[in-house]
Amino acid sequence: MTKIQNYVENVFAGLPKTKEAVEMKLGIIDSMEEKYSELLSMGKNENEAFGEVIADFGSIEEIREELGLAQPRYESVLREGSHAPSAPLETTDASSDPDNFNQFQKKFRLAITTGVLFCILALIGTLVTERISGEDSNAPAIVFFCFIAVAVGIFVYFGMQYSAYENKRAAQSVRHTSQNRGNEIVDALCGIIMLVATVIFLFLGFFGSLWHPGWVVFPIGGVICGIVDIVAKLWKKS
Amino acid sequence: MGGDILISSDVIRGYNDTIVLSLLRRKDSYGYEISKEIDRLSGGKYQIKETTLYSTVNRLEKNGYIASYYGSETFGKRRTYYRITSAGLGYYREKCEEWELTKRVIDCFVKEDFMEGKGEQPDD
Repeated sequence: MTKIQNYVENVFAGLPKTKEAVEMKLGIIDSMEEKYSELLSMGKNENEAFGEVIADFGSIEEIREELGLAQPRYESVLREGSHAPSAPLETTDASSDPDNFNQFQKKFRLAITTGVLFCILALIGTLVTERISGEDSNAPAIVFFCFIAVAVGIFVYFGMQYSAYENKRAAQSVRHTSQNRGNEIVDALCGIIMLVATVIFLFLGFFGSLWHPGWVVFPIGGVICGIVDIVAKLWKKS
Repeated sequence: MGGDILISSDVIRGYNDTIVLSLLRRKDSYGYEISKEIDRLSGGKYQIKETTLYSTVNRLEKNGYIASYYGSETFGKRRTYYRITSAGLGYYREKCEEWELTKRVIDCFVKEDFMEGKGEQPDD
């Protein structure tokens, strides 16, 4: 694979491989390769030529718009805790209907309930395993992490889809900027809260060896983030 | 203030279709040749991005304003050529008229003495 092919394939990787998308991708590759050859024959060195060709690539957003895909917004602050990172999803073509969204909401509620259930099972499972296999075994920890991993997986997956729906609806409504500004503040707060939680955790761990009850700061941080988010939403409504 | 003035991306976005169609009116062409011609005919003032060009071409084909066909093989690669359709010609004529009207309207409000930097500066 040439460097140009590699670059374009990577940029197009997040998009569904429909006939249209693939045709556009291949056309762009051909065009860039031809330009590259011409620049080389004009005497430019490989890096210069490659740089120029990449600079003229444009924006994958234009391709997304043309394909009618959701336009995910990448928040500048990493959203942790009860938020999930927003990321592009290939399957959101049907997400503009209110019916789809309602269906999704039901699934979402079920998913969150299941996730919470798994968290509770994690605790119960750990205690039970500890009873069975005694104090020195690793089994309780393994059981705990397995259940938590499933719960986190559920939260992250459905959280991402929820964000994608939200972004699509935000893109369709006109009152853009005030919502985004509000979201940015909440996200910034969330980031700060989780960073503070991390600092406290490390402190407790290194200075107090309290890794064990110390980890509790993270779920607490997540819950505080959730509260901040709800408060912000109520604030916005008023 | 100052620095290079660039083409309004909002405006040019509305006329990428027109630009590509005007080239295909003269002769059938393919991707890279089209973007080179745009650069040349605009006097270097508009270098269309790859994504812009190909999303434009996709849209034009989807709407039936252009049709694609494979050209003869060169170096084992078959180029996709585009030709304008009669529907495309009609659409092109419409867009030209639209531009003439737009130009006339905006010109009512763009005064030449502002363009030299003389006259009042707007408050920021």
